[in-house]
Amino acid sequence: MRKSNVRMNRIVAPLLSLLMANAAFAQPQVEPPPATTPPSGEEEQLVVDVTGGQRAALPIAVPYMPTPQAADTAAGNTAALGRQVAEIVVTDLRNSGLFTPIGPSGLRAVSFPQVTAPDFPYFSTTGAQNLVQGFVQANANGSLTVGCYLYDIAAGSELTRQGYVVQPRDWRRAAHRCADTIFSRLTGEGGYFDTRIVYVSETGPARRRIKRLAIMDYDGANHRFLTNGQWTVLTPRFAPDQRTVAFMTYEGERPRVMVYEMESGQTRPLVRESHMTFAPRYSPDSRWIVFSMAINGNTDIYRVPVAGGAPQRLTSAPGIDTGGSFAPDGRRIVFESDRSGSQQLYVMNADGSDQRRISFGGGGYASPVWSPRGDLIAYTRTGAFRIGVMAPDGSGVRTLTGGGFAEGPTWAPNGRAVMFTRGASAGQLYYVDVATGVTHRVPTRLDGSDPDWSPLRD
Amino acid sequence: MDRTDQAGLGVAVVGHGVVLAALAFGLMRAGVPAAVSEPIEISYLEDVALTSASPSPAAAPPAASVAPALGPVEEAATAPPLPARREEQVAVDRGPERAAPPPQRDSRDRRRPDEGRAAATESRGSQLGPDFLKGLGRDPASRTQAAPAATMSTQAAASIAQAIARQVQPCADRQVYPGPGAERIVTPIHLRLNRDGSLAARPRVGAQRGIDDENRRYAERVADLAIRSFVECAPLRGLPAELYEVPRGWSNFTMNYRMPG
Amino acid sequence: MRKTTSLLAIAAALAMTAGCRSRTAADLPPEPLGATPGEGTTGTQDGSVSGTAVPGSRADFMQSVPSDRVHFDYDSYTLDGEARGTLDAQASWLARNANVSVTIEGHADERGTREYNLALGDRRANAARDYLQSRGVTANRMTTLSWGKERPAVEGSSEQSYRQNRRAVTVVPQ
Repeated sequence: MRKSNVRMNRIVAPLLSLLMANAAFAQPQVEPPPATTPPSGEEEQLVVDVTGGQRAALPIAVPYMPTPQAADTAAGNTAALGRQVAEIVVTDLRNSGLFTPIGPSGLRAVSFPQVTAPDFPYFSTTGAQNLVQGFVQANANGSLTVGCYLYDIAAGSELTRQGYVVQPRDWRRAAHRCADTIFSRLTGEGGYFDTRIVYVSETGPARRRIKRLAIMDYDGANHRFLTNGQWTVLTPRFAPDQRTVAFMTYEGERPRVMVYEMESGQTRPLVRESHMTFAPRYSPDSRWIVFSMAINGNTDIYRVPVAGGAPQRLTSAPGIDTGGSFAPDGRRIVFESDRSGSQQLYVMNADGSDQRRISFGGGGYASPVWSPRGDLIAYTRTGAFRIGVMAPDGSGVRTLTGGGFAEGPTWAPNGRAVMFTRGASAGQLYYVDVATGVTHRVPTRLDGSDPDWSPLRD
Repeated sequence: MDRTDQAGLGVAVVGHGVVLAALAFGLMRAGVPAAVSEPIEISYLEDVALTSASPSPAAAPPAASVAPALGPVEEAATAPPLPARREEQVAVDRGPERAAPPPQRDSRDRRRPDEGRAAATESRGSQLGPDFLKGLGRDPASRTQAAPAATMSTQAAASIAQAIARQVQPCADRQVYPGPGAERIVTPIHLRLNRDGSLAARPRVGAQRGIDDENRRYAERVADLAIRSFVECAPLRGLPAELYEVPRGWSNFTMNYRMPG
Repeated sequence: MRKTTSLLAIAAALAMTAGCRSRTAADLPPEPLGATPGEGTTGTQDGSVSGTAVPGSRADFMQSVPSDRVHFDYDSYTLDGEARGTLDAQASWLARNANVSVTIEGHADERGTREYNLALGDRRANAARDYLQSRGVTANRMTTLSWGKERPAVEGSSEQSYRQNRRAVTVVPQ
C-alpha cells in the first residue's frame, strides 16, 4: 500500500504541479482595481483624457442681417440697417484682436426664417467655429427691434440670444450690445463696445493749440463737442454713472477743475479754492472726486464729495503728488509721487492712510489708472513713453505699447483693453488689447488726447 | 529510473501536452493576448474590428433608439417675441436637455449580469482555493457562452481610450483658449455613441473641476469647447464592436477635456 | 561762440515775444486762425512812435531787463546763475515800478506726462516768484500760473527747443 501510494504520489505530484502552474495561466485575465476612482455616484466607466487647444483668434461668421419687412425709419431703411449692424459687429469683434470675423460680404444671404434655423452645413464650410445671425425690424410705434443670435456651428446649438428695442437714433448701440453679448459669451469676459469716450479734440499749431472737450461712441461715431475751444481744457473724466464729466479748464486764466452736467449742460467749479486744481477722477460709486491742488509750488492729492463740500487732503509729502485713481472697490487709490526723487507709483487707502510705493524700476512711472477688474494698474512709463501694466502690488510689470510716444491710459470697462494718446504733439487716440497687444486707432476727425472710457451704458 | 517513474514522467509529459493544447486552443477562442505589451494591442483592436472574430452577442439587445440627429434647437417659424427695452438673457440653451433622454437605464439593466460575472472573475484573483479546478473548468465555458466576446480589460480600455483620444485630438487642438487660468479647468463630458461611432445623444457636461475665482468666468466657455472637441470629430471610426456594450465599453463613456497650459 | 549763439537765440526769442499778450484766452476765437503767429505779434502797442516806452509798461520792462524769462534743466526747478541774474534785474525794475503787478507763468517741455507737467510748471513759477520775493518784491504783487506743457514757446523736438520751453516767464501787463 505504501508503495502504491508512493507511486501514485510520483505521478500525481508532478501532475498536480503542472496543473497548479497551468491553472495560473488558465485563469482569465484578472482585472486589477481601477487606476482612477470614478466620480462618486457614477458607475465605473471608460474614461478618455483629451488635452487640446490653441491661442488664436476665433473664426466667427457674421452674415448680413435680414429684415422681416423692409421699412423706412428715422435711421434709414431696415434692410440697410441689417447690413450695417452686421458690419458694426464685425468691426467690434475684429478690432478686439480676439476674433477673425468672416463676412458679412462674401457670405450667402440669410433669410428671415433662417435666422432661428441656421444652415449649419453651409456655415461649416466657411471655416468659422461660431455664427452670428440677427435681424432688424421696424415696430409700429417707431422703435426698432434688433435681434441677435449666437450659434456653435459644430455642435449645431444656440449659445445665446438677445433682443434690443431702441429708438432709431440708438441703432448703433443695439449693434454694439449684440457684439458685447457675443464677445462675452465666447471669451468669458464682459464686453466694452457699447461705451463712450470723452476726450480732448485738438487742432492747430503746437504753440496755440485749440482744445475742445468732445464725446463720442468708442468707435468714433456720434461725435459732438462739449466746449467751443475758447479756452484750453484738459483731462476730462466720466463719472461712472455718466451723469457728469469732470475736467480742467483755463477759462479766465484760472486753471481749475469743473464739473459738467450732461443733462443740463451746466458747468460749475468743483471747489472754491483759488489755487490750481487739476487731474480729477471719480470714485466707483460716483460720489467722490479725487484731484490735485498746487499751492506755492507743492502739489498734493485731495478728495471732495461731488455734491460739494470741503476738500480733504490725502497726501502731504513735499514734492509732486498727483494722478490719483480709485480701485474698483473704492477703498484704495493709486497715485504718482516724486517724493523719492523720481516719479513712482504709490497705493494708499481712500482716506490717505498707509501710503506704500509699488513701483521700483529705473526711470519713472506716471498717470496710473486702476483696472475696473481690479487686477491691474496701467501707467505711462516716463522717459520712453510707453503704456504698461502691473499688478497692484507692483509685480508683473509689462509693457503694452511699442513704437512711439504714448501716454495717458484709460481702461475699457472689462479691464481688458486700454485706450491712450499716441504722439507728443499731434496726438491720436489708440486702444490696445491687454492680452494680445493688438492695437487700433480710434478714428477722430481732428487730433485727440486725454481720453476717458465710460462704463458699459445702461 | 524505474518503470513507475517512467510512467509517471510520461503521464506528466502527456498531461502537459494536453493542457497546453487546451490552453492554446482556449486562448485563441478568447482572443485576449496573455500579458503582451502595447503595440500589439493597438493593432489587435484594429484587427478585431476588421475581422469581427467574436460571436455576435445575440443575447444583448441592440443599442437604444437613436435620439434625433444633432441639429438646431427647434424654433417657431416666426421669430420669437423679444422683450421690450430691458433685454433679458434667455437661459442659455445647451441642447442636451431637449434631445431624447439617453437610455441609460436600459444599459444599466443589461450590464448587471455581466457585472456579476466580472465580479466573480475578480474575486478569484490569483489565489488558488479548493475550487481552482472549478474556476479552471468554468473559464472556457464562460468564454463561449458570454454574449460579448470579452470583458473590457485594462489593456483594452487603455487602447480604446487612446484610439478615441487620437481621433478627437485634432478637433481639441482647434479650440480657442479663452483666457488665463482656463487651463486649470477639467470638464468631464458624458458621451453615448451608437455602434457606428456616431453620437446617440447630445453630450452631457458633468461637474467641472479646477474652477477658482480667477477662471470661473471661463467655465461655461470651456464646457462649450469640450463638447466641440468631440462633436467636430464625430463619428468615431474603427472601434471594436464587441467592446461596445461590455462593462466600461465605449457605448457610454466619459471624456475629460482640458486646455493646455 | 556757443554763448553768442545762445544769446542770439534768446534775443530772437525775445523779439518774437515782444508783442505777447497775456490775456489771450478770452480773445481766442473758436476756430483755428490761419496765420496766427501765437506769441509772435510784432510791433509795440504803447502808442509811442519814438520808441521810448511808457514807464511801467511791458515794453519798458522788456527794454530794461536782460530777459523776461528764465530757463531750467530737465525735470528741474532750480535757478542757475544766469537765471538769478535775470531775476535780479527784474526785481530791480519791479522796485522802480512799485505799482506794477505781474503774473509768473511756469512751463514744461513735452517730455513729461500731462498732470506732472502742470505741477512742474507750478514749481518753476513759484521758484521764480520766491526768488523775486527774496529780492524785495512783495508777494501780493505776484501771482503764479502754470501752463504745464500746453504752451510751448517753440515747436520742435531738439534739445534746444526743449530748453526754450522749460521756462518761467514774468508777464507784465501791457
